Amino acid sequence: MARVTRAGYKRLPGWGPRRTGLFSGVGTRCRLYLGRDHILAVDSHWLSEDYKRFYFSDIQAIVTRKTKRWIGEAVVVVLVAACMTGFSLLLLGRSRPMGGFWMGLSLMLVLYLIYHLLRGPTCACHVVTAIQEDLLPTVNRLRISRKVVPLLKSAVEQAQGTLNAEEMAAAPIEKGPRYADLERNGARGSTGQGTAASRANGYRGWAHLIAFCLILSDGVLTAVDLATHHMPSLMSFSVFLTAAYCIFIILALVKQRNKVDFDKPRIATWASLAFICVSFCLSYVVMVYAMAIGVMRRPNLVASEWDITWAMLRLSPHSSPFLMAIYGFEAICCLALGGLGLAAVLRWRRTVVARPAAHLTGEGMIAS
Amino acid sequence: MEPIACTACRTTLSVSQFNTGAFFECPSCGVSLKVDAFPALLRGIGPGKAGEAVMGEEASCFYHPGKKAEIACDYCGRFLCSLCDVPLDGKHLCLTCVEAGRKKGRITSLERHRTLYDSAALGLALFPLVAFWLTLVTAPMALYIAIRHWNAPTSVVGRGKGRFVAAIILSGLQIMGWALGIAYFVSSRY
Repeated sequence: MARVTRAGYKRLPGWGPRRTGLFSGVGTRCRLYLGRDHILAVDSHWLSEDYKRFYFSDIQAIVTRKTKRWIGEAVVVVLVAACMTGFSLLLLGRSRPMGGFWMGLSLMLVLYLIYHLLRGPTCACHVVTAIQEDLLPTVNRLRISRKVVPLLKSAVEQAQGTLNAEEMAAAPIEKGPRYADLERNGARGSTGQGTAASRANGYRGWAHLIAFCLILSDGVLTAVDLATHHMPSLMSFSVFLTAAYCIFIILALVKQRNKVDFDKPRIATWASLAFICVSFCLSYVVMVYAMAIGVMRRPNLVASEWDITWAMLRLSPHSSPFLMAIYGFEAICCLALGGLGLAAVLRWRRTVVARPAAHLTGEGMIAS
Repeated sequence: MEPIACTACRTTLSVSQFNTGAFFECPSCGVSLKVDAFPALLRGIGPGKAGEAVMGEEASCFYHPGKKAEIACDYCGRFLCSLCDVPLDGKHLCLTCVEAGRKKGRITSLERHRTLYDSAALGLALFPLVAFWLTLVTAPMALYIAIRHWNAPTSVVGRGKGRFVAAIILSGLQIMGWALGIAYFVSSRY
């Protein structure tokens, strides 16, 4: 039973973040309310609220789409939890508190996984009006959509009446403001020529592909180095990989500028840049640590930059739990970012770039 | 009728699959979709009214003297032609009243943003408790915000003064605690 607020709004089930960027979704929580003549979407930030109203008389359609986000999320959580569990088991023999900490983290991930699976399959629900198409972030699970969409439907039908198939089939097709606006913005064109802008600049995601492949390779190398006996030659190769993916991430950031329909690869690229910054800070810490160890053991041997670099490369992660934790963090981040980024770019290439030309014209399909 | 596109790949969807109540596959990307369409889809956006010209002794629009008055503004009472009439929440307003209402926050349905002073006051009273010495500064601030903005509107969806009350009680207790602590310190010292 939906709760009615003091202002006469009926609160609808579900909540969700409105994701508009990498960090903007963190503090934004969206809720949906049913008013007398409109749907009110409330985006709550910490100390303020933003409101969006969809009047029943303006709503043309409600489009619900099943998504595979829940499977992807579950797979990522399982992989990260498995990595963390393996890592914690490796650490437990050396440092009990550090191992316990990582074990605790993996347990939290498992609990999240159970909660995530209990919530069921995901979906995306859009409200379509004459001038816009807006996502309802609260209706992000099929179970919630089964409760919310019928309520919205009955409210809209009460205001507008019902629409039958004959009326729809007989109506002539015309391009309205929403269509024109979407077409102008390139990727959002409802004719399916959404990627007009993407096609125009000819970029097919090669910089992103190379960058994410390099990050994934670096993750694999670090994981191998962690699992086996430390090999300085392997780590020197990893340093070259790091330099290469830094260059390609910068290239990718330039290439993705003003690119439409590119949300997920864009987020992965920015997340990779954030990871590179963190990684450089950690490398500095490792360098100071290596210098301290080197100077303490052989003060006459650490004389130049090359000596420091060599001391860093020879430093085995197995020598201390602190280094083990840093290597573990880098390996997990590289594997997760590389894998997710690669999946996002491949998916973008499959759905947007390589879309068959037959589907690019919408009018024929409507006529059917 | 304006076409509806797949929300994943933007391919235009066939109307024969709308309002069936079941999910169908997008012919291009293959995702499962369900479309509930309404009569507004056929209606689209109608053309605006220009207003009729004044004939003889007829009342004219306040803003357009050459046009016939159709209705009076529900807020200011000025006569309006059909071009100047803005229907909003069952009322008929002129553009000046709409603009004034939007700026002064008198028309709730035009509000797009609100600052929640009650949440700010409660946050200031509650979160600094983690580092208790911060409350020396934040408790008076929380009390000031709660009293100063007591009459400020809270969320549009409507919620009571609970947060303000909780902030006042919490910050009051913190201020009392500090006062007692300082008094005890001073009395034990001298």
